[in-house]
Amino acid sequence: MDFLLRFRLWLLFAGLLLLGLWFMQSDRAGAAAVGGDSQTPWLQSALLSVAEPVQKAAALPGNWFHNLREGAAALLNVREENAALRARTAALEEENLQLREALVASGHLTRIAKMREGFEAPLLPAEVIGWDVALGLHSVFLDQGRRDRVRAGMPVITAQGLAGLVTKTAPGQARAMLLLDPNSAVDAIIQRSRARGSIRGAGAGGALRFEFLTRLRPGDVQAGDVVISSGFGGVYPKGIRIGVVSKLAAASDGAPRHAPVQPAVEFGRLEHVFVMLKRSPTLNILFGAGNMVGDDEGASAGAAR
Amino acid sequence: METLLDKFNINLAAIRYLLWLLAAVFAAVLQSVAAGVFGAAFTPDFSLLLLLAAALLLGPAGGLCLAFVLGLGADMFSGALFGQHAVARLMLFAPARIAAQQLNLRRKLPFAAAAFLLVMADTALLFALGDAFALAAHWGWRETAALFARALLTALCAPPLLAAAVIMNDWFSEYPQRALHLDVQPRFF
Repeated sequence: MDFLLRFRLWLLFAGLLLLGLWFMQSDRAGAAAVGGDSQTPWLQSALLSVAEPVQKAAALPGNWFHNLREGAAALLNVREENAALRARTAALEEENLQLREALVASGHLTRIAKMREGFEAPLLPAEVIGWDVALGLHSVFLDQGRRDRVRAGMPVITAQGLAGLVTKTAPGQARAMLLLDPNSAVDAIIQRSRARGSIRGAGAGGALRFEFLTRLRPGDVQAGDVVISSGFGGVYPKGIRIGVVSKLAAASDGAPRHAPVQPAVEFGRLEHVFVMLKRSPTLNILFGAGNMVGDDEGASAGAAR
Repeated sequence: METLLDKFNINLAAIRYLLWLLAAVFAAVLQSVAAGVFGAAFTPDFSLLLLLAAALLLGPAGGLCLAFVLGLGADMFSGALFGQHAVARLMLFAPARIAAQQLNLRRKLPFAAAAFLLVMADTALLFALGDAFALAAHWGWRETAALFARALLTALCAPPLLAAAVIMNDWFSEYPQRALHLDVQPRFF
């Protein structure tokens, strides 16, 4: 008893230290475990539930100010923007018509319509209510969570393009890792040349890094090339815009091995996003498809089996 | 005169610790929201400031527990592993407590300097822990500049936060520190 009293501070320190290390180990193991749903640890989930109303209330003034500023800026340019959009819509309609005609002519329209049904996923609008406080890491907190059918592994997009991936979920919140995060990797292709590589976060600079998987031929990649998700790996759907190649770093043998990419999404102004309520088949195999949107029939069929 | 606290037999120390806990949650939320508005680099580390204030104003056991809770609060709003900040804050509490005992951290400049150094040490510790658990984190000159900006802002915010923490702590203390202040000469540092 004397021992406990004498060393109570050291014991408290050691106990809390071990608890913290255990939390870290469980989080690490949970993220990598096959069969788990990468849910937020129960304690973190409980703490997030406590902080959720405070966080939403605290985010209101910032979002309100941002909306006001955006609204004022939009009002100033509305006439020119309207004219530009009309012209763009007309051009796109014309292009769409031509493409449809070409597809009908080639007889692929029916098959593509079937593929589209399989690809399309319901989009859940979500608001960014918090940002990563750690330097060197880039995550955001969304106001939609497990209650709203959000699960780890679901892609997060904006009107501009791909923003990131849901990594953790709590009942009323979700954490999404942005493309900027050094732990993020997206299999991508150059839209023009189909050169394939991996898009990785390059830190606070706001640029991404496109690391090419294969040796490129001259002209495979140029500044201004659009980069889209390839669909390989099965985490992100194919064809989502990621960004534009900004400049090329030539290697000693002349063939570039990596290139900086300016992201399509303005991460500094990220406020409203959409969560694609569908995980890829690969992640469903890894994490299990229970309670997934669009999988209700599958789940019930599985239960019946 | 019998106060409400006496009437309902409310423990002042319990209220004081509850207030510290609420301040910890509020600091974590405020920091996360402010990081979205100003960027992570231009947001002071409020929870580290609370940790330093706790090292100064609370006992070692209470301070250790609060340091752990402050870390968990930071973990809630971070892409880091859950528990990473908690372990880092727990380890930082010891030098903060020693500094609080050895130096006069109630003065503005020493407190601000300690806050600056604590931000640096915290980041180094977080990276070391992340590295040990195979969590990638990018570090370059931009991150170094961001770290200095955050440390500087934290140091600037340190004196008013310490004043607020002292008021909060003394208000619900059985032996208010304000009653023990013997020097009445105004001193800036």
